[in-house]
Amino acid sequence: MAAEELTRFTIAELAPRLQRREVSPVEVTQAHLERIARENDRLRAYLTVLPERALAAARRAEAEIARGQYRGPLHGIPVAVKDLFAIRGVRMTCGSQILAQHVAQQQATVVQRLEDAGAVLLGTLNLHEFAWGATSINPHYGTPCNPWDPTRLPGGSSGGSAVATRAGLAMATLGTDTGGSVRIPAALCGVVGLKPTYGRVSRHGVFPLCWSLDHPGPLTRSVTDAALVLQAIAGHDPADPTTRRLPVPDYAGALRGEVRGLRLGVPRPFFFEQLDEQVARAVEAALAVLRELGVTCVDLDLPLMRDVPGASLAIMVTEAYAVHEAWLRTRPQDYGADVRLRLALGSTVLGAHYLKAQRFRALLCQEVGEALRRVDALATPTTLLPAPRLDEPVVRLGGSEVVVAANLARFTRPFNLTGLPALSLPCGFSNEGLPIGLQLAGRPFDEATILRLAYAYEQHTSWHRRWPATALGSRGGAA
Amino acid sequence: MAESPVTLETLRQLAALAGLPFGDAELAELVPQAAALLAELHRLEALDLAAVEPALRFACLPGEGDGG
Repeated sequence: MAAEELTRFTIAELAPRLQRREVSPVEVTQAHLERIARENDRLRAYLTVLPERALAAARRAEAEIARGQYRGPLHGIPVAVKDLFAIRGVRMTCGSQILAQHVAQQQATVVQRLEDAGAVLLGTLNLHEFAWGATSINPHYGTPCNPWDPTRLPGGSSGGSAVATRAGLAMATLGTDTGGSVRIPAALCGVVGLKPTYGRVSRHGVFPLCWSLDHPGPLTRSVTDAALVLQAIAGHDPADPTTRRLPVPDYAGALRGEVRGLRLGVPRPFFFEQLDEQVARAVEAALAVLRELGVTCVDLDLPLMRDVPGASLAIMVTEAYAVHEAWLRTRPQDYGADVRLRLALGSTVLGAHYLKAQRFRALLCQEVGEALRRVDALATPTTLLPAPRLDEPVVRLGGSEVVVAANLARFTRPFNLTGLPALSLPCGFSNEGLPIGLQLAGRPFDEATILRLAYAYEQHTSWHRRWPATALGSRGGAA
Repeated sequence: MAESPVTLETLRQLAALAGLPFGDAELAELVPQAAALLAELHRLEALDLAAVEPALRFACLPGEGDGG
């Protein structure tokens, strides 16, 4: 098999071949490292590449599999993590100048769990500085390149994670999602992005943006792969007291369950207003597919959604300010202008404001929780529009001007405030050839149901199989 | 519409209180953002939050709560 082909599989497709020793983890890792060496200057997905470490891990995986010690579907699979997950002994910049020379002294729990599952770490990935921004425009390391169109934003803050996953530079990646930072780049780059329930995946060893809203999660090329990665990283961690002692279900096993009879809530007010027409059409078409599969779609109204942006911002700026306060005093010039200003906003929020936002958050959880007693999951667009142009900070939608950076997270952050599991999966393409994301959100700790719905949809569509022309040399299309 | 209480002078004083070495040009950029955030937070006052406790949890000892 040609090396280039080895970078285009999903995990679910490649894992059985690795187990049967038809392909070696070393070959697969080398193919990815070669591709990174060839493409990363252009795509700017990686900040640090770890060839020696990766090849050593791949050789270990090869030897273990040869001895019959197969660990499972991530064994020998090349993956990468956003550059704010600590890998012991490896530079961790958080996309910043401030931590440009910082070397992690600890290992994030999820990184350890990936390695325990036999995954091969290729390196760390570009992001919006300190994960605070939905664009991934990074003044220190350059902006990751959207593989569908280099003139478009990749989304953020986990932009490098989405680009690497879609462009064949890693088979799966990890990102963090505080207001949509896994789901937004997943939607804009055409991959699956999963934000698990708050407390399902450990945050230990992950540099915080906002403790009470941060959620680590996978970006993958298929729903099955998201289930496989979640399986490896989920579960209680004594080092993160917010993780819950709950059994972790068999996510991959749950995918093939029946979706007929499930009820899907469609909150049309707020989530379907001021929407790009092509996004609206793609999401309606996706709902039609789900209805054909026997899912009942029920229109809902969640009136508190309109107050989410203010409450969300108050919590984010307050917690982020607390994280960055000392550097903001002593090294303000080392931040990019946008992040510095957002951080400074935290100095204007009073303790009473923060607590008011947290009280609103409790009320929002009640409202959404009541809705989720009537339906099994919610469906919305992931973003207002497909990937915006890099040079177009303001766009016109529904007759109004919309500031892109401030509104990319409009539909995603409600599920950070509620902590509910939510994923984005490809549900179509715009006339310009840009991917569009469908968001599914579920009940607390019920990732299995949204994965099952997403899998059923994916089995009846082929959007996730499209590859950008940049990732295929001169030709795009279906893999 | 009532005038926003957030002015350049307010932010100068807040920055001084917080020890932030920000100049007037940057603080001026912050004025509309701070005013918009405050307005959004004021909107929350229209909601009945009287009986709602904040979404925060506290455990006396590590591992004592249901998360531990």
